[in-house]
Amino acid sequence: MAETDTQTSVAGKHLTFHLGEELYGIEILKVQEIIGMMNVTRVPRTPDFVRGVINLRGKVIPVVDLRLKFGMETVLDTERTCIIVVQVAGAESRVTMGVIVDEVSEVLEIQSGQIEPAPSFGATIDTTFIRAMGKVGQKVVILLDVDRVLSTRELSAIEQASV
Amino acid sequence: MAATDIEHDIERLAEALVFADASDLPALAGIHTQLEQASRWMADQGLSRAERCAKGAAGVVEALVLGEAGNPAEALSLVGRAVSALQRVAANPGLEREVEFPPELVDGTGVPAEGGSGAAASGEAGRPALPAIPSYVDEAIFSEFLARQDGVLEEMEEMILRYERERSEAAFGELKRQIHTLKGESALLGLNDVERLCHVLEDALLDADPGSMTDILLSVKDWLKRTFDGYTGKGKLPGPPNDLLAQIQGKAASGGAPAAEAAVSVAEAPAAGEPELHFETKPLGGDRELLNDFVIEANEHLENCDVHLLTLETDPENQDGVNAVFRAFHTIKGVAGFLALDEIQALSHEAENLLDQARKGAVTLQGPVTDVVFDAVDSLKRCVNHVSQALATGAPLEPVAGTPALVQRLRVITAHPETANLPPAPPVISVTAPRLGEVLLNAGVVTESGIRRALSQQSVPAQPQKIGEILVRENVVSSRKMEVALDIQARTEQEKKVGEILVGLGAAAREDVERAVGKQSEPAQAAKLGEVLVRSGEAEAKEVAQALRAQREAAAGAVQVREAVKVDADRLDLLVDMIGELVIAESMAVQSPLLKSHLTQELGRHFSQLDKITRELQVMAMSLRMVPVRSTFQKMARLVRDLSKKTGKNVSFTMTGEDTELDKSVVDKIGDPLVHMVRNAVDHGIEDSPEARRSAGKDPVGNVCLRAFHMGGNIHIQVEDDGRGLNRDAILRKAVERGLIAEGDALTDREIYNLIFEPGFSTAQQVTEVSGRGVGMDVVKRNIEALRGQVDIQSELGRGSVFTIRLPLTLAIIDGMVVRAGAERYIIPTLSILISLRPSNGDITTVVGRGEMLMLQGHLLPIVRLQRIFNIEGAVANCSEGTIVVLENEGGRVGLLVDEILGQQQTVIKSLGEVFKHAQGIAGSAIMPDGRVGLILDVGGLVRLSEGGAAQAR
Repeated sequence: MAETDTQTSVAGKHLTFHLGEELYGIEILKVQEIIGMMNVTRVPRTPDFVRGVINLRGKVIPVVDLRLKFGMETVLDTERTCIIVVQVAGAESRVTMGVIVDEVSEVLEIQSGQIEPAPSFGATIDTTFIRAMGKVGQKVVILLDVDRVLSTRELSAIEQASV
Repeated sequence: MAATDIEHDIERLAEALVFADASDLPALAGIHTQLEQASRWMADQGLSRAERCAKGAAGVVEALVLGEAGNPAEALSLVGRAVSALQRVAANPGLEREVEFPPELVDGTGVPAEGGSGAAASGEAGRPALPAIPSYVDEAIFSEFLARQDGVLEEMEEMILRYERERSEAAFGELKRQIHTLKGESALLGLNDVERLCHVLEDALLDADPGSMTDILLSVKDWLKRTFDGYTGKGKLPGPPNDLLAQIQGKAASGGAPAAEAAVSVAEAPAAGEPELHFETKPLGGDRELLNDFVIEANEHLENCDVHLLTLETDPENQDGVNAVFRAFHTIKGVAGFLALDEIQALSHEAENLLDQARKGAVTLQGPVTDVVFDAVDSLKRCVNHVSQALATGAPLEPVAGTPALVQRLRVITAHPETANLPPAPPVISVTAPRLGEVLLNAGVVTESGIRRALSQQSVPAQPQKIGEILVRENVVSSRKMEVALDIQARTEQEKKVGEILVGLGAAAREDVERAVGKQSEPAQAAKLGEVLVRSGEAEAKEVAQALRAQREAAAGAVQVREAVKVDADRLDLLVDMIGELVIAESMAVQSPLLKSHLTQELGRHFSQLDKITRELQVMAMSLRMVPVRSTFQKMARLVRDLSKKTGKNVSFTMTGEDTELDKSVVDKIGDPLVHMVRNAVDHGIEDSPEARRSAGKDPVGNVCLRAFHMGGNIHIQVEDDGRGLNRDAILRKAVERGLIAEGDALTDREIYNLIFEPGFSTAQQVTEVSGRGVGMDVVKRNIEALRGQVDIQSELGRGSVFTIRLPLTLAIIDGMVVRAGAERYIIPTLSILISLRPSNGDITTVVGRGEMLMLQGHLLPIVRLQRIFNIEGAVANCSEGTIVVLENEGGRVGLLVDEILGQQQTVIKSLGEVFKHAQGIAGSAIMPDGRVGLILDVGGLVRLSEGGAAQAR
């Protein structure tokens, strides 16, 4: 993909949030809402990073713990722990999903000039999840490709181990 | 009016029309009058099409004046075309057949009715695909009408088939009502063909034997369906129903002895072996004084009978009433026998027998039965009247005409109560139940002033009744004996109660008196209107009873009217979700500790009210999307009927569980697979001839059965036939031939039967018109899998097959048992639970290689630990500390170890969606009362999981 293409396609408003020490961003158009942490029902025999399901106003949606997904250590939920509800592309239709993050920061407008391609190493996470890096002032925002991060195929992988 | 005059008039009409506009009301009114005049003239000249044209145009103008026309400009131009056509007819009446009338005015459907001009038809060519509706008809009303018709026609078919099956008068009445309604509505909407058809049909149904009309009725229904579909753009509009009309009229003409009447005449014929009854004129025997007493007493009894019968009409279960009537007949019979009044004795004897049946519950005093009893009472009254006349004049006693017939009727009904208990068609149709007074007035039984008098009498506060009155009314003692008792009471010095005297005299049993005293202390009820009317002689008791029946049926009819509003499914889902949220928010508010500390009594009341409303709302929300499979099943009934005609096989069709509810979308999609399966059952399943069946030792009539039921948390739909069954060897041969399997492959029966779902697989020797191309079952399987269901076949060669569709409950409501394991809760479909128990250590045995087993009623069941397969921390590990829930799935049983059972709960299943599509052991989720998500266990999946675990353990 040509560099300029990446820059223009990624540019726009992003919702940023903290996960450990790092700042991440999700395209604002993918975000449906932000809700406080709530009781999550574990679904057995699913991967670890799938925390379970929650009741979003009568709709049952899966919730993914991004820390676990990215292989970070788990921390206890705090007051600031939030669930970002996003819409991602599923195999059949759009799927509503929750993402648990440490803390929601702000909405940042990221210009195409502030965008740099994803590094091939260095970040804590698998680089295929990263669309690009945004540099706003002193801050570096890792702009995530939510559709990849929350690929339904991966989530629905059945845990084989436990019997 | 001469031809030149009318020509002139129409010319003026045309001029007026040119200048008129839709808002010029006086001009329009004038045009209306002239058009009506014209239509009368056309009628006089026998120009029927021109007459209809003029009338139609007048109707359009009327709609314009009333502001009801959808499009005034178009309506005016229509009238313009009509007038110019009329002008040509007026100029030369002989040309009527050639003149091109606006088709929407002349024949409603836009197709010339009979031999109409080709020009009119060709005028249709340029129109849009949808058939035109008459422009004076409001489009909204028309489309609303069309939207309703699918349901109406479905019901109509149901009634036709039910009538054919059960000869149910209720179904027939309903059918007539439907046709009548349709006639009225289509007339209103200018659907002339439909109206004509309904009208002719209605007439025919009055004359012909409705049983022989089933085929015609069904084709009428089909034609109507095509017509309405045509208007909604779902197909081509069929031509005018000329064939059908001819058929119906042919039927009506040939319909000699209607079956219904035949049945009645059978009922009225004297029972075999019984001597013909005949009463002769003869002089009165017996003591004159006794006879006199009898007349007075009998009349009293009979009047009381009337009142009690009326009560029974509204409350047939009223044992007191039945007993009172029974006693009356019994007494009359006894005395009449003693006085040698054989006519009265015979009649009251039969009536008593019937009432005895009613006392035993074999007959219900309702409808025709009550009518007969009323007739008996009337006839007895007349007999008693004759006795009293004979007494007064000294003339011999004349028999009452019709008594022998009545006695026969009573006998027949007593012997065969089922013949009488067919309710007649409801005579009054209305949406809300009319008042009794209204019914009586409409029937012309009473006058308005009579009703008013009765009503004012009714409103007079009732006095507490005297004990004697009660006893007399209940026919416990006669008024004469009562008088004697009262006499004694007046004469004796001590205060003695009438009741005691009566008991002392042996005139009444103590318990009867006690019951009467009990009644006396009950608050006096205002007399019912019917009773007042009968007592004051304003109306005949029988008529009032019939009115009461009409009233009740009208009320029942009102309940049956189902109103439907079409709502976008998404909005419905949203509503259901919101209600769910409301319920949770409510329970959170009510359970809030903050509230508890401030709870006053008043606040508590408000909250409990709120709670009740939310619960009701929740129940309603759960049922919103669910529809019974009835309508789909109904179509199958029709299919079987048609197929059995086409194939010449005699097949009876039964269905059960048609009230089982499924999600609307599932019900819609299940139709196609069912059609294929039912077709298969009739065409391939059932043997070709009754002889073949007989030689196989089966009933010559084939049976196809359709069932729906819940089992194991799934909804099962079964198609069963008792025909040939699947030929295992033939399937195997064919499969080898087609290379689906290799020769010598060891297959289970199930695997073999499943081969028929392979595309293009057919063992049928010959392809029939109905099926056999091998496409069907392939489609069945694919459709059902699309609904995430499964099909299973059980079959026995020569005995029949059962095809079972199992559907998951995507949105179905289930009863679930909430269980806990560790900190987690799960819902188990109650239907899969056999029992639950707390095992002692002795019940558990470990079988080498198969893990733990539970001994239950002599059988060993494998134990599945939820904690182990779901990896739950903190759940009990020792069986004796927890609870074992025994689950059943597809014949297999397992014991599931959980910590405890928390309770039962009804829930709407929510799909876990794409992400958890493959989650094993989980069927879905549900919102728990506390707002959290609860997971519903998939029993079959659990069994498989545990089997997998056992396999690994080996």
